[in-house]
Amino acid sequence: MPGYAELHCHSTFSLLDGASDPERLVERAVALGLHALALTDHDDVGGAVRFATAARSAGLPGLLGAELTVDVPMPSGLAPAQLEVMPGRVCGEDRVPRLRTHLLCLVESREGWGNLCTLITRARLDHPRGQPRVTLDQLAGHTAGLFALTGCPRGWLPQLLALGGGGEPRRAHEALGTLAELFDRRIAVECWDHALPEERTLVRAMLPLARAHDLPWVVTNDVHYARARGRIAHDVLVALRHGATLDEMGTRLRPNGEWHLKGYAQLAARWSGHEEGLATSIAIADRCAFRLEALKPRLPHFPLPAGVSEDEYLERLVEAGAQERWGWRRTARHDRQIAHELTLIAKLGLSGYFLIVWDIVRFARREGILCQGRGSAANSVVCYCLGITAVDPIKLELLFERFLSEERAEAPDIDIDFAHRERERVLQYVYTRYGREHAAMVCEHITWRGRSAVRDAARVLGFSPEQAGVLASFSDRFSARNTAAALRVGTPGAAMDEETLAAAQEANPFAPERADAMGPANYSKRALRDAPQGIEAKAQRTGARVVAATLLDAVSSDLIVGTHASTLIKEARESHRKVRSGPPEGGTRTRPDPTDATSLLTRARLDPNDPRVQRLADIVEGLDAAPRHRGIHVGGFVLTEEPLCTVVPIEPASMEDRTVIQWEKDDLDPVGLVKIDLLGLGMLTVVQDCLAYVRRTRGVAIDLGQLDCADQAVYDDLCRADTIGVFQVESRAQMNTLPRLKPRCFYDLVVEVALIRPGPIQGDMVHPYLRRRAGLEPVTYPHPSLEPILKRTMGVPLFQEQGMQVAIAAAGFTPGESDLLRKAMGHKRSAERMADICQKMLRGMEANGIAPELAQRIYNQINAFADYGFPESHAASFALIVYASAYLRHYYAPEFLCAILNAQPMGFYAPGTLIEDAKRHGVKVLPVDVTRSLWDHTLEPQGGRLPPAVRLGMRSVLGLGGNARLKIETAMVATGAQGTATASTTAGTAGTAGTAGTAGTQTGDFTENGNGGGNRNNDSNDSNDSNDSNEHNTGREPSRSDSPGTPGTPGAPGAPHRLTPFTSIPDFVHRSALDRRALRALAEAGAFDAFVQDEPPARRRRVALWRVLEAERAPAGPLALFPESHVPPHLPAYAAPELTEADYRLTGLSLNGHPMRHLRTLLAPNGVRSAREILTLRDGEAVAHAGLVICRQRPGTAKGFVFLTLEDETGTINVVVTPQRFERQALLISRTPLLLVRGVLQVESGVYNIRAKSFAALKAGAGEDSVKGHNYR
Amino acid sequence: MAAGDASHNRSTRPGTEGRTDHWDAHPLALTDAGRVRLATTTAARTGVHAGMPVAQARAKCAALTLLPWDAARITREIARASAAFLAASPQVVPVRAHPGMWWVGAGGFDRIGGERQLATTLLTLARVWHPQARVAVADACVTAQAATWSTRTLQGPLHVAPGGDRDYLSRVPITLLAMDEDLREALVALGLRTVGAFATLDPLEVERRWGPDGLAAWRLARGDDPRRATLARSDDPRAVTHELATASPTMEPVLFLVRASLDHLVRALAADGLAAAAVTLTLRLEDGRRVTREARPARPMARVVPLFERCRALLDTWTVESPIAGVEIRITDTTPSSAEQGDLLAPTWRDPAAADAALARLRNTLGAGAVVRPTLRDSHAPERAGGWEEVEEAAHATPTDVLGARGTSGGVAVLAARLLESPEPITITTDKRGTPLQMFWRARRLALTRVHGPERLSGEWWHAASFAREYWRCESEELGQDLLLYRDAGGWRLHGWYD
Repeated sequence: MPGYAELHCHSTFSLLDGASDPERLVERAVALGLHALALTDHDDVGGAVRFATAARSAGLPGLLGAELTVDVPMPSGLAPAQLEVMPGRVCGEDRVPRLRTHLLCLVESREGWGNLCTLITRARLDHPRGQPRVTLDQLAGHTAGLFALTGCPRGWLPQLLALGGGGEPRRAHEALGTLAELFDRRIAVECWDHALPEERTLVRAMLPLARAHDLPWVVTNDVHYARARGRIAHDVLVALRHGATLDEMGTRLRPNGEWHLKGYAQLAARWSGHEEGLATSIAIADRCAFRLEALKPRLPHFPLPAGVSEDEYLERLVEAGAQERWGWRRTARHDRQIAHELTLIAKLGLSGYFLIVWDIVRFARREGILCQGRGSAANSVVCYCLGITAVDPIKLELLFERFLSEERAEAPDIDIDFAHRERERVLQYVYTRYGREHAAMVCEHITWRGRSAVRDAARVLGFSPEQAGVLASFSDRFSARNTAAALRVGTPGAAMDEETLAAAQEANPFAPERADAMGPANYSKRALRDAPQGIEAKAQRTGARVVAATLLDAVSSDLIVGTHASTLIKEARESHRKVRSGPPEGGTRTRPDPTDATSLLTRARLDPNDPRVQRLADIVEGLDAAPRHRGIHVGGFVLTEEPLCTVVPIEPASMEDRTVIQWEKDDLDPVGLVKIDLLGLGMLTVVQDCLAYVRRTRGVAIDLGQLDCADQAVYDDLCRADTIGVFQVESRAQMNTLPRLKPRCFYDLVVEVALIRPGPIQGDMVHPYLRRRAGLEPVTYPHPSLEPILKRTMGVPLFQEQGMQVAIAAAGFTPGESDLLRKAMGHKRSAERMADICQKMLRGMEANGIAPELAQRIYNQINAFADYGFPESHAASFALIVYASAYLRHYYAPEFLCAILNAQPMGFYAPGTLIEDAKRHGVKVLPVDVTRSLWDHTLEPQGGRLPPAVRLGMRSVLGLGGNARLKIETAMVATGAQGTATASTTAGTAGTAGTAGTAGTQTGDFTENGNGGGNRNNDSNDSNDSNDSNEHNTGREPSRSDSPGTPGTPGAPGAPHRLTPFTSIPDFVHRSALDRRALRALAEAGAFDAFVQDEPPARRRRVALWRVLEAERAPAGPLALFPESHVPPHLPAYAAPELTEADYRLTGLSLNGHPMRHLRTLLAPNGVRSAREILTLRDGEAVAHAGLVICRQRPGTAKGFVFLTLEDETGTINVVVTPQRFERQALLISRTPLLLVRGVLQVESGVYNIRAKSFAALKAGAGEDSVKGHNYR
Repeated sequence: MAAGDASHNRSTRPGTEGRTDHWDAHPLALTDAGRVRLATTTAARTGVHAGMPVAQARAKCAALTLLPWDAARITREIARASAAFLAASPQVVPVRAHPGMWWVGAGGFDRIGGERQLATTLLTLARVWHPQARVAVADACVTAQAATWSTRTLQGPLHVAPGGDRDYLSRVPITLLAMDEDLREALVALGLRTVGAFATLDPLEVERRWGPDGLAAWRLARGDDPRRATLARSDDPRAVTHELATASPTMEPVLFLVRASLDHLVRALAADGLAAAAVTLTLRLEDGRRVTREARPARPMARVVPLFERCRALLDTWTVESPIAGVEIRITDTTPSSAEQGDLLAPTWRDPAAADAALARLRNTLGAGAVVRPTLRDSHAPERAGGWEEVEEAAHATPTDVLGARGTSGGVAVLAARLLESPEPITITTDKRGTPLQMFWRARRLALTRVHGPERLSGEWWHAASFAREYWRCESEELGQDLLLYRDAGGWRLHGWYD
């Protein structure tokens, strides 16, 4: 039977030149009955895995390939006019003109795939980003296993033929000969017909060429979208590529919409009399038999001692680690678990993988970089013993199978957090260790979402940026499809004409009498009636009915709550309405209430009746989820034994020294690539620095692994929500929960971390859990079979593992199915996947005798995880950091403050808030002072006594950047002999410079290893420190030596430097050579006050500035023209609010007093209470409070409620604003830095909130305008 | 010395013509090179100020209307305002780099009411231009300028007593003294918030820190301002006014007067080495109203004929509601006269001004839209791939340019497509493949031979005028021409033919 295989097809992964995703193309190809389909994106195989997966599922032979950009020599002897019209004429980097051509390569074998990937890699790595290309020489070595087609009209042959209007084929003959030789005659001449005369002219010239060389010729349709209507999105993408509006594009857009997938019948009609071109497509498709399943990448071999296998070596390491972790506490249970895990790891051949991860962690440890595994790896004893994770899975009874199981038959996912400042060193280590040919990062495809799609759609349609902004502000943040539905008005006719024409031909291309007889009206109707609906339309209708019915049931039983639920309900109602009324003619589009769309468009000053405006929704929908560009995954690394570029193309990333593969994380599993996530975590930097500071200041070495996590004083802080700066539990929502949850043991922290997440919140799990914990409601279980699973969390599912176990126990899922559920929960498109699983779960629970209503409730709770729920092991890993940071903050507040200030920007609060909080906890904070401060914040002993004070570093002065830092540090570190003291390598930076010295100048402070972070050349010193250290009275064992890293380092590493203190303002000005603006900022921030001690404190900054201005213009040294001038008596002293204002303006914080302090005398008589006073009041009291707004939040899960945090000189208070009140005074609440709030105090379980009733703006003139709050992030 | 701060433009906000509110009551800003150069008071209240990037200004004020800085227009308006102020004092100097500000000499007015009278007169004149114009009188320009910012000037002119400049300035905020921004910021940071505080500094100390510029600012702070208003000369008016003996309902008599007046004015202009860039015609109507319109040639010229043709075109399209009682012809904009040096031996050299004059005559004869030229447009739709656009001025292209690039294409003759204004419906019979065989058009049956196609063209789907057609090029032996047919959702149509 005759057939056709489409061998030339572009997906959205031909970035900005393909309008359909691979799945849609496969779906359409199946509907058209194609023999096979090839995916041939431009220099890209980013869609290959999705394409291959979809094709395999659909039973369609899916060929892989790419259309390569090939630079060939420019033909000689061309007239200038001919050169001008050649579309592919370019100049190379060497200024030699070349012809840029396209060449289609299809993969026949594994070797061919490797060659294709290598060619794409070379094309990408050897040329600037966005301009991939290869030369014929590069092509020559990599054609084995590839079958070539001569390409589209931009191919070498067609371009040459187009030169002389087809009359001069000599050059084309030579070109075809060259290509045939390169590919050893595995080449066919590609012909197309998009109903354009110029193409037919080319084809007429190419067929004789093919015959002359005795080569086959083949028909393709050079597909760029699945259906004719995809032309809209394609035109838009092309316009975006040119950075032009559609009106400006003119003939740069294709002349018609013929570049869609076509079936055999339609093409046979076009190529009547030349059917051999169609038959050739089948023959070529059959020989290109390579499929991605044949790709079996291996991990690099880990270098092992002679005669030792990977399994044995891993076992040895685990054994040693087990001894270290448990020592005498090790039991038979530990042994059993270790043996179980090692056996499974060996059976799955993953020992090498664990060794590689261990090696990375070992490197980090060696370099003093704090790291900790997170995610499901924390379920593994092996990971724990290897030091990859820090929580004991046996102690916490974590489920190993969540991490690794034989049934899953896939590599485990190990995610490791590193101190964020040092992570780049770890990444570069991996590149160096395994070579850039074997290692690269995973990419992330940045796709169009609601807002970006609507902005770009507005741009190409020529709407103003303001109009685009209005539309974007009302768009669905995530889904362009939902946004399109909300924007849809009217039924534009133009595209229907296009589709009508195409559909009429597709339906019956051999119906001339019909065309003759048809009048304009019945032409459209008949064509529409006959147009194939396709399987997707049917599937969508059926699916929509099922989901709509399910969700409507849920709505009626009032089981779904939360914002997400409202969206689902809205969608369900819409879907239900659509299903009832039947699909609109010609399609299955969702059509929400058009009046909403009209109102939205009117708000953007757009006319809903304008056809251009009506097209907006089509464009937005067309862009839905299409990739815009490629970014770097947050931390995923892949390693292979064979060169990675033979598995997947590698390309340069936007960041220097990074390379990425063309596949994203979801593409790795199907091809068996193993990913290791190397992530950065700011709090680990804080903990790392803090540990180093504590070791320096107090001689105490703390091993995080040995913390018993049971210190009740730490839990007291947590119960009081005294957690500003503490990892994960410092947000307003967490602080509101802590006094209710009252954590008293480590597992409580695990629950706390998992509880305040969008998943549990939307699943309505938070309040039931808290009520049960408080004994306010009995602990019950939805079904007796779930009790063992939910017992630890009082009958409320909180963790992903519980979702899996519930599915197994209640719905009869197999472990494999439950794992699919888990994946759906974690997948970024999980809402859709979860909807698919919904039906299966409900049926399963029904079969197990669970009532439908109950089943629905259970499903809703699990479904909530789709919006983000933590696995228990992950929560446990984070809980450890929660405890560690809370512990350090409690016992070592100055060191903790210093570390967190040096790690900024990070966390929830601005430095000013962190300092205010630390001051309330007795930490002494000293101002920036050029005679004592370094760039970073440092610790200074107070007359040799502990605790030390925190000395603000020069980095706290706003406006001083990296250049200023370099100048200051260079000025500090003298290279000559004039200095008076030596400093270790890191003396200039790490914040503990002052700890070993006296309260004198910088001179004495930089001694010994007064560095903040364990000089990596100083391991012996660190060890001595550890050995000599005092063990803190927390019941911990003496710690092992750890040598945390250090912040930035001035001067060459390893070389001792002499430091020369600054002796005067002119000395600083001339040595640092800072510009006038930076110097003025330092003076106004009080950094020169030490040089003007004879002046009254409130006048020092101005006197210092007076001198700075003089020194900045005066020549240095003997060339000085004037003697030092006197200070004019008219320079006034700062008033107190002025001083605070200058502090906030220049440093974002003030040690001279909170802005509210200056208003207190006015406010107190008017009944405005301070934060401290409010804590003495009772629930229900009317209260007035004023403060700096340091946090504004409007969480998506809070139904429009707004939460403010106000800070005054005595503490912070949270304010709750109802949606109605917010709407009334939104601008005031959102913009005013200093707010006076009147309302009613709510006190519940020690949590104080003000339910606001009215607001007023205050003005203190004390720097409040300079405060950068945490606003709606 | 008097300083006036008045706006130079009485125009209203675009789109608000006819309303009584002044443009300063709207948030407007003039922009230059991506930055705000001037902002209205209303815009300034929202935080928009000069020097601010346009994007930032938009962020400050969503309703901000941005207009481009038009240097020529502003210069023209300043000149007009200066001319008006000259009615009050012969010493009028527009302040350089401060459009909207003038120094006006106030000395020697004792016998005609003194400075106070002058200031009042100036204020009256200035408020014609801006409702909140301010006038202040002082010994030094710097003092007068600072004094204009006093709120008292909103009630009337502010007088700084002779010899009282320094005292007055001592209380003035430092922000009102013209100086480098860096110096101003430093003084504020030092707590020196008034001009007086700055003036008390030791000049040596000032020079040490801020150099000569700082010293200059310090001198200003002490009222020591070397600037003085100087005598200015107004251009002779280049205008002629005529009264008609009897009011005329038509333009005929006006045309004669315009022609004669232009003869006179242009001759004088040419004698001064100037060319006319704009001519205004003001008609005084019998009912007392005056209406003015401007005729601006494509390029400045000192020739009567093309100028007159422009004026005639203007008058021809001008309908008035009342008989015309008089007319004023005024050359409002001039430029130094210049002429292209033509090569008399080059046969292709043409005088563009002569061409402009010729085109103007054609326009007058055939109608306003009669002079057009063909243009290529970038569209797949045949009827939109070319068009006609009105010609404002003669092209600079030489005849060689025009002929060289067209007419042939690589030695192959190009067929010209003649497209029908509106494609005509036809009836077509086709073979079983859909290829046209014969055509019924205007009651004739035409056999089609040598059929080429189809060519599918579609696009501009975002327009109301989107199209999706299938074109065929068919030869008709009876007509002897290649016909261009297409079918779309509306059926078959004849679009044109090639010849």
